[in-house]
Amino acid sequence: MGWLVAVLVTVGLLLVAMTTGPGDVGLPDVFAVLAHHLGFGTSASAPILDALIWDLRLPRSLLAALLGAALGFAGAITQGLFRNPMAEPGVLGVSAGAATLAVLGFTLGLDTGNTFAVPVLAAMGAGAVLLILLALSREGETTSLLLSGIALGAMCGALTTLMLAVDTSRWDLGIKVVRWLMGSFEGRSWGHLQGALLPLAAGFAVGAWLRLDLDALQLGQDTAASLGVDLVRTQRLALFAVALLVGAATALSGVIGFIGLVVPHVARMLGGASHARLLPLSALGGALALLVIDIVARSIQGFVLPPGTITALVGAPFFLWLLRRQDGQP
Amino acid sequence: MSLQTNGLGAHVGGPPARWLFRELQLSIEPGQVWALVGPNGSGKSTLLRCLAGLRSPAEGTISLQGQALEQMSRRDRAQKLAYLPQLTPLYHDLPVRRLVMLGRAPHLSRWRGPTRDDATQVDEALRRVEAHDLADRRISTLSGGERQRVMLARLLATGARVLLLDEPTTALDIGHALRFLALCRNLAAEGTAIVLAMHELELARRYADQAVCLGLSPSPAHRLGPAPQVLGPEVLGPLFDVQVREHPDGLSFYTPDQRQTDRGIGSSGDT
Repeated sequence: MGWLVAVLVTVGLLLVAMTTGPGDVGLPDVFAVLAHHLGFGTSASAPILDALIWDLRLPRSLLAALLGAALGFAGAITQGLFRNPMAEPGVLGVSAGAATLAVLGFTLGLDTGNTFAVPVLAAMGAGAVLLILLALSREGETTSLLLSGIALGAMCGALTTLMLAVDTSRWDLGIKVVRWLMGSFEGRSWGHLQGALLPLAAGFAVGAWLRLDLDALQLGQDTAASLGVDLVRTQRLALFAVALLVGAATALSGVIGFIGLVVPHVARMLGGASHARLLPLSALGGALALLVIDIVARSIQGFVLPPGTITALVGAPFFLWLLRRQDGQP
Repeated sequence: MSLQTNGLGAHVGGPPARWLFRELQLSIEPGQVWALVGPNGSGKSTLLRCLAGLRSPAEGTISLQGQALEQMSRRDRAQKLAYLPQLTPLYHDLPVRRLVMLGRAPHLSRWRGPTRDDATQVDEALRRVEAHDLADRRISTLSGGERQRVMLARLLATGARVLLLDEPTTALDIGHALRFLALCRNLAAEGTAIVLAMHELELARRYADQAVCLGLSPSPAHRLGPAPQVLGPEVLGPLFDVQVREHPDGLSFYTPDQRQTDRGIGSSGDT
């Protein structure tokens, strides 16, 4: 029942997103264009309307929803893997790692004519940061985990800035990288969506496969191992899934933080701590969150509102509140 | 299902490494309760983790019903051997039933998740530890005694016939500790083998059939045998550096320089 409502709300938001933005586009227009492309309608709409809805708005909104789902899902896995409600790819510098290698890709010009190069590089950056964090983290230690994440994030940020300094000597490249770093869904097309599909599907599948192991891990490593969980394999696979999801999301839309922190929390409150429910709920919540943010961003005219700024403005206070609540516990 | 060790040894730190125990020959049989005693740092937890297959011993072998533990698959081992660490960290509050369901992990299919049969096993486990009325409570709302009973239910839910528990009674008051140990005796009477690391020496003497003492000198010496014999003054005194008096009802402990007549305990007035 709850699932049905959530899916209906998502579809409803997608439709709202189709009608948001410059130009007078109503729901009937949207239905007409969709019906035509899906092979139901007979008459084609006006070419300009068709292009606006089918080529611009639909892929963009679908991408926002998909990347939101990826970030929510990746956040839930990260919290489960580190057994820590504060763990989140953005906070831990994992997204920053993805951004650094993505910028390297742009700087070297690897993105031209190859849709996979930057997402793969970004996934490698995310994976590298996760590997270091896993090597450094100890059972139940929040402070050192967060501090390690901050240090790694700062290091990645510095490397990114360094490359940016090199890039600005070439004006076009500099603008492109800065735009990308701010994060945006502007101008994302079916091609982008296509490039994201494979890594995201793999990330979702691996995460879902691990749901029972992640459940057992919540009782600590020893208990999980005594219940037959292969700790090393679980860590590796979880890392792989998060790296793919965060890498692809970062490569396509820039750094969007805090979705993976806030959404799994709300999902846990609504659906409990079992990953069989937590993972899909977090994905759905993330999709809803980024869809709403993109609708807001597009209804503002005159400048492009980077989605990462809104998530940080909402997410950072939430993080502080969580931190306070954690400190209050014995 | 019997759990046996042959020449088992483990060490920590190093170099040079400090041996915690060596040449340990255990034969833990169905229906037996074993007490594992020794001072802090003597290797009780290490031994339990070795027995649970969570740590490779430095020397010797462990076998479960004749099969080498290290050659068993993780899942197979988890179905036969259950382990409760000293502390179970809970990162997220869970309802009791869900926590006990985690004990079914070694039986769950990755595709289907828990079935009706798993739910029945969870109810049965909760009933056996007399915690079925707690099933819908959250863990954070339980008392220490209730929590340990629920943890025991999680072990039982695995269907394992060998249970390894690291200091399950240490945080309990005497009433809850006694009831917990009585529960362990009942489970043993049904054919389960149970190993308990304990600090309560008197309780160990009363409730265990067999005892292992770690940390004796010269290091790494140990003693094992029937609990009432091993857990007597001549072993425990030097082991914990205390004076032990044995009387018909049990044991009394004093520091070496303490007069045994303090507070009127004891009658002989020696020392």
